[in-house]
Amino acid sequence: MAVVISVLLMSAAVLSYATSVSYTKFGDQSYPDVITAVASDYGNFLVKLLADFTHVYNSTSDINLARQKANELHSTWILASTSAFSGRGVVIRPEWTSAQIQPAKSLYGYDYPPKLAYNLTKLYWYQPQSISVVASSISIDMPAAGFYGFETSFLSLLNLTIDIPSIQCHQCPCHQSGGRVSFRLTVLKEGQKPLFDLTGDSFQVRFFDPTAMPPDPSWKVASISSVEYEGQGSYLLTVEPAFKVPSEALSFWSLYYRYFDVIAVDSRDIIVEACSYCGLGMQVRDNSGITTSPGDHNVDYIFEVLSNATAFWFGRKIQQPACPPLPPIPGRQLSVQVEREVGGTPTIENVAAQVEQWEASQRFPSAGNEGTPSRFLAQSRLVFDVGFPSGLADLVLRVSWESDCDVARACDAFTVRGEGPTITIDNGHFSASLLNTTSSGEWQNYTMSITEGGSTFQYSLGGYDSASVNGSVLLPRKVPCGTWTVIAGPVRVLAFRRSSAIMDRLSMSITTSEALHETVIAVPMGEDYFYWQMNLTWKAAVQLSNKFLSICSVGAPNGTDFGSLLKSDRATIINGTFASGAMEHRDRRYNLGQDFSNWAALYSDSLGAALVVPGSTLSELGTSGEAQLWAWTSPLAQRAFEYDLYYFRTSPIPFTVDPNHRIITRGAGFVYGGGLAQSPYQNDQEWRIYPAAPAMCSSSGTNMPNTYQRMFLEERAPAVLSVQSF
Amino acid sequence: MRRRGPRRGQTRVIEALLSSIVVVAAMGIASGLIRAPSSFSQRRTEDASRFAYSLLTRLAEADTFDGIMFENGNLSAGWEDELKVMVGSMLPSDAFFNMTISNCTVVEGVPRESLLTARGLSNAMTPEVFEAALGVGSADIVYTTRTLWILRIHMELVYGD
Repeated sequence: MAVVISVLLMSAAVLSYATSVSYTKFGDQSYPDVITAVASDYGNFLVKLLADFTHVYNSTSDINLARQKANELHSTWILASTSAFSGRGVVIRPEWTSAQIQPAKSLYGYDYPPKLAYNLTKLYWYQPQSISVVASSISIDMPAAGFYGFETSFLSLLNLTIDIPSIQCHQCPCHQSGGRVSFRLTVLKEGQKPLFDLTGDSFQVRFFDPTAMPPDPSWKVASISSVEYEGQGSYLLTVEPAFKVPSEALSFWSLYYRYFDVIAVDSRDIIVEACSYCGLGMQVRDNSGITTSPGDHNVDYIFEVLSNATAFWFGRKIQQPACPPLPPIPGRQLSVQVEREVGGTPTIENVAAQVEQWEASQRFPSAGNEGTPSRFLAQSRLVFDVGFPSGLADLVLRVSWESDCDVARACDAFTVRGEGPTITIDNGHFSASLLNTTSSGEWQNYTMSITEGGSTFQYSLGGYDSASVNGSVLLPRKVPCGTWTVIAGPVRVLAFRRSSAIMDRLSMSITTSEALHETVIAVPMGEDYFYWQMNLTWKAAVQLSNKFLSICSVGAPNGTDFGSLLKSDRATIINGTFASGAMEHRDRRYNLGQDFSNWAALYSDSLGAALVVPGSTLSELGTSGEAQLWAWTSPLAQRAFEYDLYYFRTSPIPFTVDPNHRIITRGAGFVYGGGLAQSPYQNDQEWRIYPAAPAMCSSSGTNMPNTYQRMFLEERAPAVLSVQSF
Repeated sequence: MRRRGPRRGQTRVIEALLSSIVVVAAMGIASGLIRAPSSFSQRRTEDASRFAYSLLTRLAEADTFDGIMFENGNLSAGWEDELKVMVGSMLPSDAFFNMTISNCTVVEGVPRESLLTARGLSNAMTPEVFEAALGVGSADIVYTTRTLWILRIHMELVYGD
């Protein structure tokens, strides 16, 4: 009996198993097929995702935008696939792969760090070896089929390597301006598999055109003459660069042909972009001659580098040899480092940098600094702070580009939408206020005021003519006004305006028919100085009721009792004391007001403000023969130094301006710790005699302005001694 | 005198035996009901499913859906007819298919499917072909296009008699 029961139970078990097998076997689609269908399209999807990712980044230069879209698409695919197979109970779980796709290596003398795929997509571009990669893994379960634990990983990439030693130029001997450039490159995909189906349409090569002038683009696409596949993914490209003026392109064949940018697109539509060089090393010399003691201020310059690698210092070109251009890559990828020796050990420090957009002429900032990523082209400026520590005259700057497109080094300057009559700029050292003067009722006696330590100094830029009203004098009668545009970044804030608005303080009206004024004020972050450039262009032969024109001035309230200035011999310093009532201390009408030089300073024993004008402004002042550095105390005991192109006359002399005379002035101002003037003496020629406001023999408040004025002088401009690419 | 004990035990054994027979019979009948009507139709269904899956996979790997359905990133005119001819040409002459293609999107976190084959995509003259068939195979795949449309493609396949 027991045997019979056992047989029956065994039969029941076998029938159960057979039923289960039949259910699985005769389903519409067996689980291996479903899993293969999901996994297969996941690999297909990732390739297309990478293609789309590279296209979005290539067109926008915005890695965050591209990544956001990629991640959204990935989520959509997971949800959609899970939903599509929901009837079969498919559960899909993605996981980012964290893998090293290339170890650290040295290639053509450049040390590449390891390349990692730690995100869904990664781009390592802009260096001779560049990679686009997508990597992910998924696990798939089908609980309804009793199947668990299917896992698979996907990695797709496109690797482009420029063979630097193979770069050759073939200048046509019969036509010196023409020629071709040839070079090899290798294109591989995942698993080091060569791509052998690329054609001329798969490549775009851009070269720098030294003959291009704005607004013509400085980087031009070369026409591809031939593409030869040499096996193992290696291609020999021969290209013909394009020039704006081919006959003037000789410098290209001696220097620039080695520097280019290649974009390759494979048959999967994946893009990779590589440059034939990784950066520039610039040896820079500080010629200021400033020797500081430890603990003193560094000599901190603001450098600007254009796309053609022209370097600017305080808005002026500096001496430099011919050097490679900066590539047309997204500006955020640019990086600036300073090589220094610290305790005998060479170190490399990153310095803050920002990318600004200027007008095509590169003479005026663009109002369109939206802070959005863009490529570094002819309108771009790379702006950074270069500090020369005590006793260091030479240093090496490295302007390079980050290969990891997720790493942004330089920040894009962005336009600040200032509202209201006042724009405030806080640079971490002082607070500056600019007036958005749009109506005559908003007049203030300054262009920019600086507040530090509770004291306020007022700087005015430009003004002309004078008028008498009820026994007092409006000086100047007419002043430039208008609204400012401000762009900000981590290195400096630029305030600029181009306007024809001139306010007549006598009629309390605004005229736009007399002059166009263009002003750019730069306020470096964390520094105690600012600098400016102002261009005044007469629109007509304007009739002035009095021949008076002020270039710039610095003013301070009562309590800032001392003033010092450098005489034209550039060795003698005059110190004086300001008065408690109206007084002209140095004035061309009364004494040697015309004897001046690069700086003047107002100060108390705790704080001071300097006004510095470089040689170019002194030359401008020298053109009139009627210039002065005016030192005066106002009836309300305000103190001021003022550089005038035409000194003030009490008895007005009508004057018609020369409309062909464009007045270009530059200068700087800085705040410092002030000082104490001592040992009074009386000399009416040097500091006009006034009770209780004598000249002073010595002062502790002159060392700073007399030392740091050199930073702003053309003859002491820093120089780029040599430039080498790497 | 009656001996009741042993007789009661025999009855229980018989009851257990009958119960076991009933259970086995029930399972056998159930198993028979679950199975396909015949091994012939089961084989046909299995073959058709595998063929449908194989066909869809080949079309996906060759990016045929991209090439036929899209032009400049948008659905091209007449793609349904072109795809129908293409798929029909890859099938045996006695095979009929019915294909539905949906675009999968996610709207505010919720997956949505919008049917692209509103007119239906089939080489069968009438739907009765599928109803009358002995074995209907089916397969599903997900296919991502170059323009990153995520398509769910479902195919039913039958062989004619």
